[in-house]
Amino acid sequence: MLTVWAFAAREYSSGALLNLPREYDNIPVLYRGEVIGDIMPRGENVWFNVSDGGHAIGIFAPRELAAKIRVAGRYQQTGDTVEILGEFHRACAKHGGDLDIHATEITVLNPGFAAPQAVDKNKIILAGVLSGLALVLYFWHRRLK
Amino acid sequence: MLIKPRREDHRLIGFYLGTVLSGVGLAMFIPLGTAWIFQEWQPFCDYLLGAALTLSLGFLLRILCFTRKEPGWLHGLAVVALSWLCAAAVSALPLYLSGSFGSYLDAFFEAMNAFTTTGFSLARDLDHLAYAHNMWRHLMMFLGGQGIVVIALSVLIKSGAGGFRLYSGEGREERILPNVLNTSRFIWLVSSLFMLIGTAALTLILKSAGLSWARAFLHGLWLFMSGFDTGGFTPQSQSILYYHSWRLETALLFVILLGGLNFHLHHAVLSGRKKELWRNIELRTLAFSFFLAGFLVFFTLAKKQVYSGLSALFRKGVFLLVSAHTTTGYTTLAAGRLWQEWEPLAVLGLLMAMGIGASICSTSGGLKIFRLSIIGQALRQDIKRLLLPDSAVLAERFHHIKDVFLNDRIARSAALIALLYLATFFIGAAAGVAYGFPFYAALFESVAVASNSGLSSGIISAALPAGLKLVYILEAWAGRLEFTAVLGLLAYGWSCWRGK
Repeated sequence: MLTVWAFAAREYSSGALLNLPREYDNIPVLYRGEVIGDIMPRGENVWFNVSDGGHAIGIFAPRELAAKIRVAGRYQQTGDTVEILGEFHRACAKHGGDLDIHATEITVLNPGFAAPQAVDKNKIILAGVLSGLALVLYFWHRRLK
Repeated sequence: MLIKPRREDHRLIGFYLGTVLSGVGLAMFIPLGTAWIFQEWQPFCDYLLGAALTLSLGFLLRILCFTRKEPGWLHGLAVVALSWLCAAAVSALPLYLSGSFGSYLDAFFEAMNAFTTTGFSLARDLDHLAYAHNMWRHLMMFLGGQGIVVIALSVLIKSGAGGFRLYSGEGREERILPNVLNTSRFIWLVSSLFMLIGTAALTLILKSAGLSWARAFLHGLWLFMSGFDTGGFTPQSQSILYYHSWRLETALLFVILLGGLNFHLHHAVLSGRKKELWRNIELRTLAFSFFLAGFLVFFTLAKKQVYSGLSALFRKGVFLLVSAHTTTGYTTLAAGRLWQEWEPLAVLGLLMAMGIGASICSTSGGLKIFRLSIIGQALRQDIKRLLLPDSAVLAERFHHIKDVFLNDRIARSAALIALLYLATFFIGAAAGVAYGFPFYAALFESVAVASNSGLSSGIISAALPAGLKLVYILEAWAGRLEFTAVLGLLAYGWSCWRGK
């Protein structure tokens, strides 16, 4: 059954799903993107959000399926790139009208990784000079008072 | 004869502007500390640089323009209007240095949207923004909602005599306590109390929703700051939809309603005068307005079967309606859904709610429920006058904290400000149309900006033309200050030019 479902599913971008949600309502979709923010456990299931660079869409999945997700995207951290197979809901009756995908299969395509940024040396020097200036002006200003 | 301001007048404005900038510089130590705690060294440098520059400018202005004089009305208005522009300009610097904004104008747009509690964001990748930058975005919103000059009043400025001129310039006409300094401190006390309780409650809810303790606390604090100050910024690009939690949505409804109510009313209730909740003209009109806008929203959503169940209809409908009416701008809809899925009549309900806003002397924007009540009362008085004999003496009374007799001065002031808001809504819409956007979408966006709401028809994005970004910045600034301070600044500029 799952194989038939997976076969029927086509890949959609967030833009396509958000622009024509009634057309894709309650049908199997393939959606690909980066896991962002948090994996939020709720009982036997979890919520997480996947962004394909355009927009992010909420994914509702059983805990064991989501267990393979290791890294969620944050500052200086790129999240796992995943492919979600699931049923798209324009206004999910089970979840208060949220637009979401109920996942039946999750594949991690690329594991997430740390993306540290080097500190700009010019910024450090400028910040130091300006801090000195601010201190001088502060004491001058105090004397005036 | 128009009197030309002298050097001493400019010095006075410069001195108080310097005070406000020093306050903004000090506030940057909070994101600086956040960057230190979470070891975000790039943002740490951004905030060190931003704080040092802002403090230097603030101190320099205070040294060069040193004075012991009290500001007059025109000085007060010019200080307030300039303070908001300059505060946004310097606050944009660390955001721009973060590299998350396409240009300095985008960062300035973000800072102005934060201070004015409007809530539109042009950040390129909000979901990967550093904690320090998110702290600054939400803190600016909190400071702006309270009024940056109110903060300077309660912390940095010790006098009370000239203080009222600064206080009222920020769109707050009412003195809760006899002394304006005590009024500012009372507003801070109430806000701090709610902040403690609200952040704790939101942290627990977010923890139970699946966030780690640290992230639950940070998100709880940020959501409180933007919610209570009816601003609408969120740390994630999907707004409140990101959390998929009805508990959080319910808690935020309370937070934004508290922020949208008059601080005078908070004082009355905290002082044991609970009857005020029933008698206050503002609350009565607000309830009626909610009912009317709610009817438009729910009737059309139900008729067109936008949501399949009652629970979804109420969860989406109530949240969006309260968010619009308090001019918060939080959404639980996916990007573009409001404009593409909601019927025009339901959108009209939200448009009306945003334009009207909530209470005066609160953190919300829009033309304000109180003014609408006064205009309604004045209209009723005029109709009665037509029906009664010429010799009849007519006195209309309303209850707002105390019984007040309606007079022409009160009605004129309310009508003038309402008229200025309406004119701004249409000027902004015309600018949108001139840039090629459809009228209804341009009007919605203009009302959302000028009323400091932040719900979007989809026009505002990083790709927006620079000219339109500037128009929206000016709209948000003028709308937040309720035009008075902006007109005061223009009058000051005019007298500099034409005065003798």
